[in-house]
Amino acid sequence: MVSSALRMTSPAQPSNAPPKGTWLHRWPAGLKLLFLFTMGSALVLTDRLIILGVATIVAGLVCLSIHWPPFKQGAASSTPSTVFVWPLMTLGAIVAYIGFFSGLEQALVVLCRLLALLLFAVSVMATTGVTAMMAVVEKVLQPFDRWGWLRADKVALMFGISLRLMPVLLDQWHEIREAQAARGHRASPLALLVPMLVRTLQRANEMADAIDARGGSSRR
Amino acid sequence: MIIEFEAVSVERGSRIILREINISLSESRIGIVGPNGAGKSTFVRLINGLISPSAGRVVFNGLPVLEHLNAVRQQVGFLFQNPDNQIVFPVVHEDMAFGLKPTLPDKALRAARIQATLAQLDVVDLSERAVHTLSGGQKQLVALACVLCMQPDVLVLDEPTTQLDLRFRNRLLQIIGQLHQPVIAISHDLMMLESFDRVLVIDQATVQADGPAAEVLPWYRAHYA
Repeated sequence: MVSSALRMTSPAQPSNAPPKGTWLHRWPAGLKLLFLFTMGSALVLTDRLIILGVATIVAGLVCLSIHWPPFKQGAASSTPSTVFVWPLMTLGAIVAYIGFFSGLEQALVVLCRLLALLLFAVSVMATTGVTAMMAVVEKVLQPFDRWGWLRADKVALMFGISLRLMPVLLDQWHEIREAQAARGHRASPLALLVPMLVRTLQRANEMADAIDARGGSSRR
Repeated sequence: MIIEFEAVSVERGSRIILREINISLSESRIGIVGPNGAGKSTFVRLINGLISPSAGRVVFNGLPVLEHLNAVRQQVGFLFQNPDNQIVFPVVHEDMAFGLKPTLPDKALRAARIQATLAQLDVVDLSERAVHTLSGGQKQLVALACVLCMQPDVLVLDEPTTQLDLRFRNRLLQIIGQLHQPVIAISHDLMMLESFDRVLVIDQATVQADGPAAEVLPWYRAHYA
């Protein structure tokens, strides 16, 4: 055991996660993912603005109910500006593009559809553990595993790792951009993509080593 | 713990990374030093079969490593230099559970082991945290917790303090000092190795010096500074 002299509480940092024990936390992971899949399919299939509008309001209420009061931790990392700025900017760009070429109604249809999907997905992701989601993915893919088409456990592991890697790769992207800016280069897609690709492949290799070292046999 | 390198060579194309290493490791604290690119990481990766030798073999506690990969990897805990590449799940306790799952299928026992290990390192408060919200030092402690919760017989550390600030470096060193398992550590932090039982200097594909830290480290400083 580590002696008490070593005790050093890690600095309290608020997390972005909603408080545990909300009504959505109590739903089984499989049900939540099934709901997300069904809702996503339905929202893609319909073009009726009224239905999409209602879905967006419902999604917003669901999201608020698990995050209420919103952003109460107040940390810089959990403010709306940092959490939602990129998705909202992307959404805004898509809607502006469609609005310009196809008119206001079509833009509203796309806006409601994407916003509802985003809010439902955020709610599900924020209230479901990765291991629980992986277990569902593995279970759903079991028949394909039995037929020898794929390895369900590997696909589930890939799913879990991809969620972990999102913020890591985003940080890596910023690092490369800053390094190039510091050397006076303007951001060009090729100049960013090549080091990004190289570092991502190196990282993948090291991660595979780490999984192997823990007995996970990533390369089998 | 006894790790034996029997005429081990590692080659990559025309480049010889390690040449005919014959060595037996049994001390409780073994340090490895040497210039960058000297083959230190290759040397320790041979211990749990992350790298296969081009010639010779490595034997861990009587088991030829390549023939008993799973058994050896369960006994050898490996801490990588960059915890971001070691932690594969988004939440701390989920990552710890991932390593334990094959050997500890019972969920309650797994949870108890995870809590006990986090308590051992005094980082229970990190259990529910998203990994990307942790500082570099916290990530390294979590990576160490992931390794320790598997209760390995020996720990291999690949430059564990490189990315740490002074506070976390000291904390990690004190934790390592109190572990009951044997430790094999690569490090450029010579102060860390001063209390070690044995230090190897690896350079030019071979072991250039081998002996107690009190003898080898001054020699290393004199020849490589």
